[in-house]
Amino acid sequence: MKKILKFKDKEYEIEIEKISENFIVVKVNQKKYFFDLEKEEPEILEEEILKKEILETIAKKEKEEKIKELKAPLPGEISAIFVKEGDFVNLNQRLLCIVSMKMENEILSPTEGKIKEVKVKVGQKVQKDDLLIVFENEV
Amino acid sequence: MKFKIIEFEKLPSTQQKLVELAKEKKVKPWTVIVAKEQTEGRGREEGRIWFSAKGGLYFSVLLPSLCIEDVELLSILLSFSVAKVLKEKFNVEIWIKLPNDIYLNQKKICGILTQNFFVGKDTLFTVAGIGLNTNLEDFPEDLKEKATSLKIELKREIDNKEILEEILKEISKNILAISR
Repeated sequence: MKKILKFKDKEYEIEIEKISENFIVVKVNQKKYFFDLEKEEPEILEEEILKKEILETIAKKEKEEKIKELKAPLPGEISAIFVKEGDFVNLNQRLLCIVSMKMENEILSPTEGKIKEVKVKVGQKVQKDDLLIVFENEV
Repeated sequence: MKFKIIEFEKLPSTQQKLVELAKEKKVKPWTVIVAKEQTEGRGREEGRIWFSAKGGLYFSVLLPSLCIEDVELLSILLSFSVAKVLKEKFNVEIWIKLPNDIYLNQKKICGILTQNFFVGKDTLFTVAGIGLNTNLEDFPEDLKEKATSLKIELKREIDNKEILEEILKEISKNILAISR
C-alpha cells in the first residue's frame, strides 16, 4: 500500500509492507527502514544486522513483484528478437533490439526464467512502456 | 576527462571488440578502441560495411551509463560533437544528415553507430562507434560518388591522433553538459 504524505511542502512516498510475522519494512521515498515488532519499542534496524533469512525473504518478494514483464525503455522499431515463447533465459541474456534515432538498443534480460509470451514482432513500432515480453516467473 | 586509448593495427571491428569487453566488464567508461584498419567495420544497417582501409580514423568509445532521457538524444549529440570539431578545425561547411551521418561537399565523410545496452529498463552501457574518412585517397567504385575524405577535400594529410583526441574531448564535454 502506497501513500503520499505531504509535510512542510515536501512529498514523501510511504509504503508499508509485512515481511514476516514480526518484521515490517517501511519505504520512505524508496529508502527502506526495517522494524522488528517483537521489541516493545519497535526499533529501526540496519539492513546489515537483519537476519539472513529475512533478507532472503525480502529479495524473493522483490523478485516476485518486479520481474514479470519487460517494457520498452524507449520508443522505436523492433529490429530483432532473439528469444521465443517457452525459451528459458538467463540474467543479462539478450532478448531483443529496438532501433531508435538510428541507434541500436539491445535489451538484456533483467531476470532468469521462462518466456511466457513475446508481445511484439520484428518491424513493429513501439512506444515507451509498451509491453514487450511476459516472463513466467515461478519463484 | 581521462581517456584510455587502446590501439590496434587491424581489427574486424572496433565496435564489436569494445562491446565484447564491456559485456565482460573488462573496461571502464571512456575506454577507446582504435584500429588503423577494419576488415568488417560495421555500418548502421544489418550487413552494411563501413569502408575502413588504412588512413581513416576508426574508433569506438565506451560511454558512462546515461539516464534514459539523455540516451534518446545521444545520436544527435555525437554527430554535433564531430561536426563541430571538423568545422572549427578545418573551417569547412559540414552538413549533418540527422541523426547520425556527416557530409562534406554532398558526400559522406563520417558515420556514427551507437549501441545502447539495457537490462530491462535500466541503461547498462553505451558504445559509440565513429568512422571518419581522414586520410583516404580513394574509394571503391560503388562509393566514389557518395563518399569523400578530408584529404581529398583539403588536399593535405590529417593527424588522426590529434583529431581523435579533439573529438573525444568534445563528446565528453557535451555529455557532461547534458547529464542529469
